[in-house]
Amino acid sequence: MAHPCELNILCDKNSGNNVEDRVKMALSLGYEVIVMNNFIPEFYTKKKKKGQEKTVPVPEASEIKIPEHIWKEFKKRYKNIQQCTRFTTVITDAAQMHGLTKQKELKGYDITAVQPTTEKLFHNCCTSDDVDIITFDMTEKIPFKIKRPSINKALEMGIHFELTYSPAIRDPTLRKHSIRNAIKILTVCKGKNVVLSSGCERAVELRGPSDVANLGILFGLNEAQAKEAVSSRCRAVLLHAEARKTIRGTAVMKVTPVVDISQKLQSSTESQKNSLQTTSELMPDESDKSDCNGLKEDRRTGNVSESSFRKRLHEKDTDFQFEDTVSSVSKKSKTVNVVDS
Amino acid sequence: MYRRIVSKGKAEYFYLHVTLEFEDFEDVPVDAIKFKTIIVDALQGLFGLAGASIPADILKFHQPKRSAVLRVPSSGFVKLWSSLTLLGTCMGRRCAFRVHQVTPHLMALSANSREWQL
Repeated sequence: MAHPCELNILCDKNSGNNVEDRVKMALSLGYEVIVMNNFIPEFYTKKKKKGQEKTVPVPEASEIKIPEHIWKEFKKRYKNIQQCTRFTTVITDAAQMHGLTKQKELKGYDITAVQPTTEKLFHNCCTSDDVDIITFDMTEKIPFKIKRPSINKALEMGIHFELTYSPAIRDPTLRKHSIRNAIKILTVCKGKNVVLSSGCERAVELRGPSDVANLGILFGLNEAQAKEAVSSRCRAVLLHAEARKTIRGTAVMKVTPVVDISQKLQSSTESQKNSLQTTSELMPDESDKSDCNGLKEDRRTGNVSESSFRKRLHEKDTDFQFEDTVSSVSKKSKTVNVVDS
Repeated sequence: MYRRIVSKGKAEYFYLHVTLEFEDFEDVPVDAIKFKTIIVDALQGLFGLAGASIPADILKFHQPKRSAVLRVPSSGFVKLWSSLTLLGTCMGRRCAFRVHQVTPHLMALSANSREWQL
């Protein structure tokens, strides 16, 4: 279980001033990635009569982070630690989904999470490009039915579902609800793309990564999935967020006829060339690489500028290009639509 | 001089090294009997009477630190661990069970590399 990750340490204004205590506790329990969560239930409302949009001011991502000098102290004690930011909101209206992309402050946050309130909005969230995590209110019954087609879409998009366990620790009645909700979600999505996080308000409500994994087994995950839910799935969320923020474009693909390659191969064998040269032809050439670099430069760099992330993303990019010959990479999906039509 | 031991199948028992922690590192006196009651209550709170019947034994108890080594049959291991995890309050105070080590072999509890101060 490499890199255990705590995806939800609440740090809005209502949660009090014990954020540092909680982060300290999380680090001492063995978490290596700490995500500071800013939960604002309503940040975007639309006035019905005038049609004006009103937005609630969202604090910058840097404001909710642990101050640099304190973080340095932590870094001396615990190696390889990292902090990220996350924005969570409740979706009660389809227009709010639109607002997620509009507001400038939100671009500073690493992860975007939403909490849908109806079945239709849940489906919208599952198909959205701007969402990393779909979370649920574990303190009460989920007010809608979760359907498999929506989940399939979300799995396709790489969106994860979050289960928070700290309500279960806080109060026996809340425990009932949260266990029921967790089992409900896990039976529909069969344990795929699930992350477990705390959502704690106090330091005592935090539990160690193995404890949480064991709790996952109780909720109905198998052992491997339970371990993944606190480690590699969380990593996947961060990578998804990074990919979502950095790559704002689509690739137009062209199918190269297979005959051409075989002819080339034949011609190469006839002229008794080395196999090295044929492989060099198959490898993406310099122009493709430069395209990729152009994309990389285009990335709006968030706060997670970890080299490991970039490396993995870069690997993904090159793999992708190796399989399909990318003829042109356009910057915005809108322009691609125009080209297609 | 060594002896090779091969264990086949599931382990019969699991052993847990746990500590009971209170909020703000409060010093609440807890003796072994009270400790056992807290554990049984936690089991009963999550799994009812069927859970309370799981035989969780305290092998060793260190009173000043409120830490203990527990033994539980492997069938009730997940239940015991999860009920310890979900315990939030006892004796009217907020508390948490910190599980340091979990093992099917008691020998493994002799050292804990995670708590070394380098």
